[in-house]
Amino acid sequence: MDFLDSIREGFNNRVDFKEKRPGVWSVRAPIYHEDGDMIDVFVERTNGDDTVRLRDAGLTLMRLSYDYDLNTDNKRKIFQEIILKNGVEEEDDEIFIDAKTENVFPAMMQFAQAVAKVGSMRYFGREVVRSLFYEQLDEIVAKSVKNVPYQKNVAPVPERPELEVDYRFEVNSKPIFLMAVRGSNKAKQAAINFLEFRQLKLPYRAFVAHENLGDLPKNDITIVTRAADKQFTDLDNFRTDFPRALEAELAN
Amino acid sequence: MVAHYTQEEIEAMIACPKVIVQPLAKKWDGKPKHRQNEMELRSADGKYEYKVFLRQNVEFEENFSIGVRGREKGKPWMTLLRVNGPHGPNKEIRHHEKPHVHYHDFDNFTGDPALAIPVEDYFSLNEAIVYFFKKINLPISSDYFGGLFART
Repeated sequence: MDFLDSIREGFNNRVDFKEKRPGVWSVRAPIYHEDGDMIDVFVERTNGDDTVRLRDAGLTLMRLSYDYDLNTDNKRKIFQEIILKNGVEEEDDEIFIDAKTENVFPAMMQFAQAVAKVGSMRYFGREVVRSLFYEQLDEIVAKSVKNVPYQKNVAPVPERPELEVDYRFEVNSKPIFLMAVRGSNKAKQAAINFLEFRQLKLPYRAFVAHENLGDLPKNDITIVTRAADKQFTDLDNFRTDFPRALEAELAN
Repeated sequence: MVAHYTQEEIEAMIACPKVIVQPLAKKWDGKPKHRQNEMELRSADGKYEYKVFLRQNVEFEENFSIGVRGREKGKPWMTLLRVNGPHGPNKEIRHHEKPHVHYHDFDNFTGDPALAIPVEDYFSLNEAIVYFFKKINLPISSDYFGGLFART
């Protein structure tokens, strides 16, 4: 049986094919993305006698990139886990699976499931992977800071190791202490640190990068605002304004 | 899913005059299987901010998408519009392979623009770019788009 017939039989004839390039067929099966577009599956015979490759031509990650980038090690790790656990493979951003002709239909369903799971990674950004905040912030810092020496997880007062700041940037005579704030407890910790440093008369500038300032209780916003010289309301704001703020401090 | 915008707001966000905050890169960013470019906009009245994305598959160039995400400052981002190439069928235009535009269908809100309308106004990527910027009310200026039509 031809591999196209095998797919047709699996879908009970509710499938169509279009030869996109010589020997490369696009499968028109009733499996859809959220927006109603069909999931892209291209099928072709590989060099092996009876082996068929199903692949996405990189379109899954292209779609994902509309509003979600695999731009951190953690996101890449999650992506690779989805690939591995769903029995498909990935090379140069193309997802694929090889199958014998008689197994091509179940392989296609397996492939479609993997593609759908990768596509749903965009929701991790809003919900599940909120814990990526610190990793994403770290990445923005690394990109933004070109010629300014900095350290992570530093205690500016050696005899007070509990007063740790997330970043210390060496800017002129006044270092910048940056606290990354996710949640109420961290907000309180940031405020306590800065107020203690003030009492100890340390020279510093206090920056706070919030995961989302609007999520904090009103009292926390008040105490952080009193203690900080500059705040970034969320990661987008930090990404845009932190490099400018750093430049301004360097110019002072 | 909670709807943060009314249909009227979505339409106003698409149609209002805009200014460029961050222009497109002069060169497309080449990924292993697609190329991409991006820009940032805001509404002329400063109420809304936008991220525009352009994507084109390397192997199947007819598979492209030009889209815009927008938000009122302080509210969540949402994809407002996507202008797609004739890449393949859609649930709503099953038997055709036409360029199509995805809009938000507020009655069937999923968080992604789900309503697909086939269009005759463009076929190639360059034509689609012109169509898209007209749709979002941003005049094409050579100052900002000079490098856009050049292939990398």
